[in-house]
Amino acid sequence: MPIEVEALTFAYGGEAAIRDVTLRIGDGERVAIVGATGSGKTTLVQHFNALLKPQRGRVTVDGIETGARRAPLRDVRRRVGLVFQFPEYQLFEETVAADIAFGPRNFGLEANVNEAMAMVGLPTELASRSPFSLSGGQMRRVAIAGVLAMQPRHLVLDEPTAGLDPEGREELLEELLTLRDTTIILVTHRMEEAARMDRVVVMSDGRLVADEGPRALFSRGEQLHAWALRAPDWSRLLAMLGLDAGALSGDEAVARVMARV
Amino acid sequence: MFKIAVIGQYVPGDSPVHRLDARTKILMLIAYVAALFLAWTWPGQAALALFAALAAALARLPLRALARGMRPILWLLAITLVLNALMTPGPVAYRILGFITLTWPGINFGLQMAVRLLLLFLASALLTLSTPPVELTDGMESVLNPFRRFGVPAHDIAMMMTIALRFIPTLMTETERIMRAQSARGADFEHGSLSQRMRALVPLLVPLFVSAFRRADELATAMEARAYRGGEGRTRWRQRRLGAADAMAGAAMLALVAVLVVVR
Repeated sequence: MPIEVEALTFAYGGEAAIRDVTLRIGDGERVAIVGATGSGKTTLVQHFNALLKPQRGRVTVDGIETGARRAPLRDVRRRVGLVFQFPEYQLFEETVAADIAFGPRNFGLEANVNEAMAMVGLPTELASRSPFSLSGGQMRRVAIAGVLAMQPRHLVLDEPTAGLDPEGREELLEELLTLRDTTIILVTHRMEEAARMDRVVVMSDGRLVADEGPRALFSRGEQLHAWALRAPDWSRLLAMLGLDAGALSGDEAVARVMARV
Repeated sequence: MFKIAVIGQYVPGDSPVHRLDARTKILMLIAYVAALFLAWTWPGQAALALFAALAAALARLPLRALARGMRPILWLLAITLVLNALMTPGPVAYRILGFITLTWPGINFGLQMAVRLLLLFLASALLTLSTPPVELTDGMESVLNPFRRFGVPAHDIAMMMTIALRFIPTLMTETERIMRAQSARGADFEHGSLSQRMRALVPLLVPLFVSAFRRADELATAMEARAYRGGEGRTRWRQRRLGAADAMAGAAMLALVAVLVVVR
């Protein structure tokens, strides 16, 4: 069942961080949420697993209204796995395996540590190591595996590739995209990553300003600029050459240019 | 999500007490505490209480902030009073059970001790409530400076205090962040028995310490990159001068101590 957001408004005291956002994300969809820093992306996704509750409007996850009194919040949190920014800073257990099993154990689930590790490309022999002895990229993978082990139906990742090297970014994204039957909501400001998703939601100044396929979005370079965003380099190149800028990868752009030459 | 009011946290203001130099206030506090232990008579204590009350009135601090600072020591005061009343030998005031008795000297001594502690905390609270943290640590450094020749690391102590105060809000934000992240993994900080809730703190405290150490390391590197090498040859941006008000306050304090010594 979907995640549904209706006329959601939320403020941290002063000015509203999200204003009147309405959004529906269906089962198994791959959605990117993009926007400049402070546009409300993180605040929005924290509503998806009831860490924040709507001040106005409504959020419904798999038919559970999170703002309702006595809503089964733990159930919502198990259904929607949320990977925070720099999740490696939340590791605490003595071994990788124990840390990954922390989430499932809290929800009374059988933890399949090996499977979760395989999903993010961690070699099994790391299971008995201390998470603090791993490299930054591996620690990040352990943290993500810790959320995957809860077998969430919907997975929300807040800037999962921030601070990784280009190869590490590509690998991690590739691994996440192979997850089947799981909704993937990717918060990012990298358009190259948004290009890999089916749908891109654009936030600007707390409002939802666009919700469309990446192809359509990238051909609106001027508009993106107004939201303090930028189309991928390949799209900007195509636009400069007067070609259709709606391409999803550098290769596609090259093919389009070659076809023209 | 949650907010912790730090006891004795600076309350901005523009009273005569706020305007006093931090060094003056620190030295006055030291003199006052010494005087507290000089005065063993009720008139002496009354004079000290009057002095503290006067200072509190001059500081024009919200009474609530002062009262909040006193609350944690109420138990200490009660225990001091009861133990002294029970343990001091002398004429029996009240026999509770067999050999368990309250004595007149005990009650007298216990009350004096309780008043002394109360005034001690009140005076310290006046200092921290009316002085911005940076001025406080700068003042601390100046006051400790003469003791450097005896190996007291005056500058380092002051710098450590400044950094500790600076990082309180950072650590609170960090705590909230980690709590959220662990809540997303099903951690429950609010329910369960006492021991369950204590155990629930491990996933919070371990990452918090790890990140505090990381921050400390980064800060040390950043300070060294800007050629920090302790207090040696370091100059100040804010140069504070002692004024007439400082002289008057100091004189009042000295007069009080003198009177107490004479009437003792």
